[in-house]
Amino acid sequence: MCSRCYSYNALFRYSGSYLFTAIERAGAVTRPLECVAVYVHIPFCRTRCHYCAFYLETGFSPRVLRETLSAIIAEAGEWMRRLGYPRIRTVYIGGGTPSVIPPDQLEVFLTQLFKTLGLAMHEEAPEMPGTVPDDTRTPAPEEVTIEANPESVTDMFLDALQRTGVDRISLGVQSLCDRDLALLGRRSDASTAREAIRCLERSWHGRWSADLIVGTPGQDTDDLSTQIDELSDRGVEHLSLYGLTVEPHTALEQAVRRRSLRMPDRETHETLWIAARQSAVRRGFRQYEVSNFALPGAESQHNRVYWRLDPYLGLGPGAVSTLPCTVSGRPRALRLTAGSVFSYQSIHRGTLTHEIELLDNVSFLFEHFMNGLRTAEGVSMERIAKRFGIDSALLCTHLRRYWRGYSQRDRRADPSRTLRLRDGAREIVDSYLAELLGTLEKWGAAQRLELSWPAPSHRDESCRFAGVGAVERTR
Amino acid sequence: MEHDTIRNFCIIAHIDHGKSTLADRFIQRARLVAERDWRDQVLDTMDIERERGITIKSQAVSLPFDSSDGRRYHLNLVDTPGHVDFSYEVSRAISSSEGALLLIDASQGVEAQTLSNMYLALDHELEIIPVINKIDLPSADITNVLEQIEHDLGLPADSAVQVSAKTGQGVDELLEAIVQRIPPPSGDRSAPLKGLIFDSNYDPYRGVIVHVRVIEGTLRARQRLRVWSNGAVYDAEEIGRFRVGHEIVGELYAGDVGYIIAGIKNIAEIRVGDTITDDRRPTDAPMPGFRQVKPVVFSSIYPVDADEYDELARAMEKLTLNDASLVYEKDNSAALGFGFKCGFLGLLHLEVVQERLEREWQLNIVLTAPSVRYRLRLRDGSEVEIDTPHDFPDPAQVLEAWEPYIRASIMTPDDYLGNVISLCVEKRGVQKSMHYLDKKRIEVVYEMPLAEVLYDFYDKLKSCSRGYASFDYEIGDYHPTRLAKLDILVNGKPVDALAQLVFRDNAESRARIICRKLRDEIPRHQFKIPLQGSISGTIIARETIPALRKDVTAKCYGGDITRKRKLLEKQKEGKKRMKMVGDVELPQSAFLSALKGKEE
Repeated sequence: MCSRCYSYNALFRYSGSYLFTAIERAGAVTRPLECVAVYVHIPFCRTRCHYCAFYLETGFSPRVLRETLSAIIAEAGEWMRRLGYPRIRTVYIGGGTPSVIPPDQLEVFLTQLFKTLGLAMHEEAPEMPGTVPDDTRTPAPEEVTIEANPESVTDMFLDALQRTGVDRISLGVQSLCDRDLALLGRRSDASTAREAIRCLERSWHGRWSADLIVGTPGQDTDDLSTQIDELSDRGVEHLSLYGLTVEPHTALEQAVRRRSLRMPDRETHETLWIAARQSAVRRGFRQYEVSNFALPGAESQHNRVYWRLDPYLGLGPGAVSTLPCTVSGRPRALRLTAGSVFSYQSIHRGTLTHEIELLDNVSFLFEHFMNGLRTAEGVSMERIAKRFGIDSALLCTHLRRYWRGYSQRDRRADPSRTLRLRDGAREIVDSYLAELLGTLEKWGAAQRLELSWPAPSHRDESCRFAGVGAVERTR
Repeated sequence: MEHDTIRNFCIIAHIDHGKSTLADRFIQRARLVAERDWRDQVLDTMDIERERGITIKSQAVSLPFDSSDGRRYHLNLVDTPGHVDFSYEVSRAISSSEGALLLIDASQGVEAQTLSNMYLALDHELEIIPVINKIDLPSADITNVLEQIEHDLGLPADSAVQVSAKTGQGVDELLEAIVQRIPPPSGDRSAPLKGLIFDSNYDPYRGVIVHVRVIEGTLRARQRLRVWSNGAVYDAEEIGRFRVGHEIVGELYAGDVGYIIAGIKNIAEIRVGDTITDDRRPTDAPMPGFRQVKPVVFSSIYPVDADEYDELARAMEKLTLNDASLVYEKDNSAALGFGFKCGFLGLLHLEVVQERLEREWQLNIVLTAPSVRYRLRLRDGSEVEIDTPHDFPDPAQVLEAWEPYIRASIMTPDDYLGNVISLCVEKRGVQKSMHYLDKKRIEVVYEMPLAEVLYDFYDKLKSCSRGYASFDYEIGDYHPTRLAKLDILVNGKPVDALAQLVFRDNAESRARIICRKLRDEIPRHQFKIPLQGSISGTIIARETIPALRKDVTAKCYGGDITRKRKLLEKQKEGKKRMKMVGDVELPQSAFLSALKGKEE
């Protein structure tokens, strides 16, 4: 597939600025924020993995890389101005593969970016007068993560990151089995991953997480537990387990269609997943979200922003934002999605188009459940009550009566404060969600949902993370 | 119009032997339809008729034809339904004609239905013209068909006309043969009016349109008419002849075929086969052979979405406007809610109704397993008739049971005779006769329970004979049977809509098949679901659907939220098509597969 000419188009057109025009046209006005989480999409990879359908560029020139990075910085500056220089809670540099940027260039980019975001990364970081008004200068973010592929992890790379203030690495291990890696179309083999981990052990002062893929053709439960044990032995504090899915228009899909590969059937997939989960739990990891496992205190702070649907800002061509706004003076949730990024094929159309989505309040309320029920912390009914101006006890009564998923709640959680699913039920929450959507729609039609987001009187609270401690307390 | 320029005829044929195509050719030949409006099978007005290639409603058309003798003739073609379910309609069409074209496919030869239709035509003393169709096909074996006509049908082979309805070859010769060989109608124009109702249809603006053959007397516009069987009286508002549409005339005479519009609102008052006469000067005797067609197959129809009940009610009402043989009454089921219990003439009739509801009305419906009507004698000496499992009494109270049998005539090449016989035996058939039609083809006659034919007989007959065997039946008497009610339990709860009345000895195998199919059709749930077949509380079959352990798509971060929500919105729509039974969601397909009975 030739993506080059189109991808250049897509990138050259890429500039955050046209977004603002589109938002205005949609009648939405973004408002100043107290704080926000930032995701940065670096849309470059050396090669495309066989399972990946996400928008990214593979054959890019140094010039395109340079211009895209400076477009992201410009976009960041514009957003900061529009959002009233909010405090940045967390930063996540994802992709693509951010580590394809050469270390020196990456360092310059990150330094510029963090400066633009008004982050005080180090005590010794030089003041940049004029960048940020003095009175809004904010403390260091709680977490700055970057994604990296094993083949990019070198001492030089890690040093560059540490100088800029990145304190967490998400390492795309995917598997420690060469057969799997070849089949997934990964660029590195298991020994490269092991070398990268040694390098982390040697030179990395921050935290790190590893991604693993579950459900590759031919995988068995022993493979998974061996890999999890090995990662655990090497000091990984956080694991993200992803079930392999066959996306349309990928090399994997083609192989499956041609029958040169056979995906495990659903029951095998489930068995693998449950075995992987058990291995992680056995090694002391807590499944704090369906696909995320952490040693106590090592939970990702950035992801929690998504699951709670606190404001987050996406920068870069494939990034998504969810921000408060007003439409004709009324508060709404605004989602900016690069609508076509999920399908590789869309690149044929030449441009990436952003979708300006004004979420209706019931959909937005539903998303709080959709995300929150996947987490061990559950959905805080109090937060929802404040955010939507509703009576949480009434909502709970309604759910108990009309939603079968309610019976799956964790009895230890106080339903008026937290709605949390019991262990095991979170894994099948999708089978309850479609019904929940109908239930909420019926309920929402009879209610007046008044979004107040973030709640002005709880500005501080909505910004400050309850953190791990809080989750532990609710147990 | 003079008597002797009229010819009334029908075309009788086995399915697919080209009846509608031949009718098309006649109409084209008579230039009743402008070339630019032409579409194939003009008389088949329903989509389903076109698609399935079968005629469900009979249609009539009057064709002007200039014969080589220099006179203009009026050929009234009565197109007949082409399926055994509608054999009564066929017999009425036949009795409104003086002649019949017996259409035979040149490569298929004489089939079961050809033969039964011919006997029907002979009973009514029709002049029969054997017509060999599809002679243009490379596989046409005309010599063999001629031999079959001589041997099987007992008709002189040299009386056969050879045509290709597709290319038009031989059609003119056939029209000439109709003029020369089919006798003109007789009947006294001055006698009291006697007309045979051979069909009716419903026009939303005009009401019921009665299709009538005037046997004796004269039918005039504004005449006061009486329907013989129920004495209902109507004023004829309009009468006319059939073209491709309608052609208004002032009078129809003995021998004519035409229509009456008389402001009739309810099609049930106009029964096919009934006699229509002048209210002031009635005829002394009605046409013989009238009977009320009685449904023989019963099934209940439910909307998948309970909100669609009203829509379904409207649709049923509209369907019966055009189809007097469809009967229904309100019904309700614990699993499926409100619906209608319906009676059909046969399985095809049922399928046609189902398809029309789904296609013309865009309804999502569920049908219960079709049943026949059983007779039971109870301990208290009373006799009851039941046609749904719901009405089945306590088995201890049942002394004796009877079920309807059919007389099935099956024609097959002798290569497949063994298969056909074992199928009939499997279906509890009793052989009544067997004889060779020619060197290779055999006709076997079996008496077998109608209930067995409802299940999967057609499909099995076709597959065991590679599609060569043909089948025709007539409803026969009741015979003793051993009847049981098979309950299907989903997650421990009996689902009334899945219950069936079955022959006791078949219950185990039937239950196993249904459980297996349900296992494949019901999606996995959050819990384990046992599927059981039971008779009077005894479990006779069991399958288990394992519990779902994981269904979340693996990740959900900031960029995935909208996409995921939209996916769930779609799923929510899909759930509307599911039926809740206890805690279990049953998809429509689960009911359909249990109904079909086919084992893949």
